[in-house]
Amino acid sequence: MSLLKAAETLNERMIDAAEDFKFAMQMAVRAAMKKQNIKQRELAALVGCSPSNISQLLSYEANPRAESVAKILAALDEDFAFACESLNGKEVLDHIKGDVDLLEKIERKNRRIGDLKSQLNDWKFELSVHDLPPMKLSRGQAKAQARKIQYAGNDNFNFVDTDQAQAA
Amino acid sequence: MSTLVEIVKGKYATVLATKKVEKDLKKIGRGDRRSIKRLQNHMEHYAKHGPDLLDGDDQFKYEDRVNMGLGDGQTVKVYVFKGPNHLRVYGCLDNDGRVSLCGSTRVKQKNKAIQGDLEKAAKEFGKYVSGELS
Repeated sequence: MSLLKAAETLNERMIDAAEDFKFAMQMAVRAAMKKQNIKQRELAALVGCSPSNISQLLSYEANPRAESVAKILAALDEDFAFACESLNGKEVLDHIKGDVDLLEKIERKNRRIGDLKSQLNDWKFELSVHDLPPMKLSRGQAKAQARKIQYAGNDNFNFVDTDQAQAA
Repeated sequence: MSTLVEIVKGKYATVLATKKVEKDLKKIGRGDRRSIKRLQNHMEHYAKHGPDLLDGDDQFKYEDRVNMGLGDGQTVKVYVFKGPNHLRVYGCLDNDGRVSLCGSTRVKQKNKAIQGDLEKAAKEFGKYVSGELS
């Protein structure tokens, strides 16, 4: 449950988007600082700005230029990218937001494909004359047609002459 | 009857609140959406990633150890989720921090915590521990 009702007006959507974007940027900088074990003062020296600029960037009132954020993340040796739904797709965006674990989803799909492949080896496809599409063919021609379906060297397909089997 | 509301659930923790806290925050949100959105982002981050990256001055902080009011002298650590404009939501964590129960809220004029708010949050947590709240 959310503390806020879903954004209905354009103004509400803009407020939410601005806050989410700003918060994500700030947490990215904080995470990079923690990874590099670097303090705000040291980062300011690295980027070439005053410590109060860094402090302001991480505060609630922050409204930094995109260029400043990029420079700071680059100074922290952080690889980063901007993503949006139109360009990168919803799943990538959900993954970045943490709503969907994309890697886990891919792994799950790969496991499913692996399972299907292993099942495929166990399957036997049996064809009979009656399974063939209705064509005006003689019995011999129909059998020949059915055999064409048997791929060369593929044991999964087997032609069964049900009439002969029943007669036997 | 359920008297707690789940605000956000993540890999790391679940943030719960009493209905009173939820009502108060929703009321503030109707007039100041930006502050509540920011506060909610702090809670969501805590629920997804834990408290490591949250800043003590602006976002999430340990306040004090306060009596739970169960009559046996048990105390609990009270934490605060901070929002802009001195918006504060006080809550307690269960033993490993996987559940955060928000028990009181306040929009203050000064940065210093009001002891009554901490005690209220601790007492609500006491009720949760004793099973009065679910």
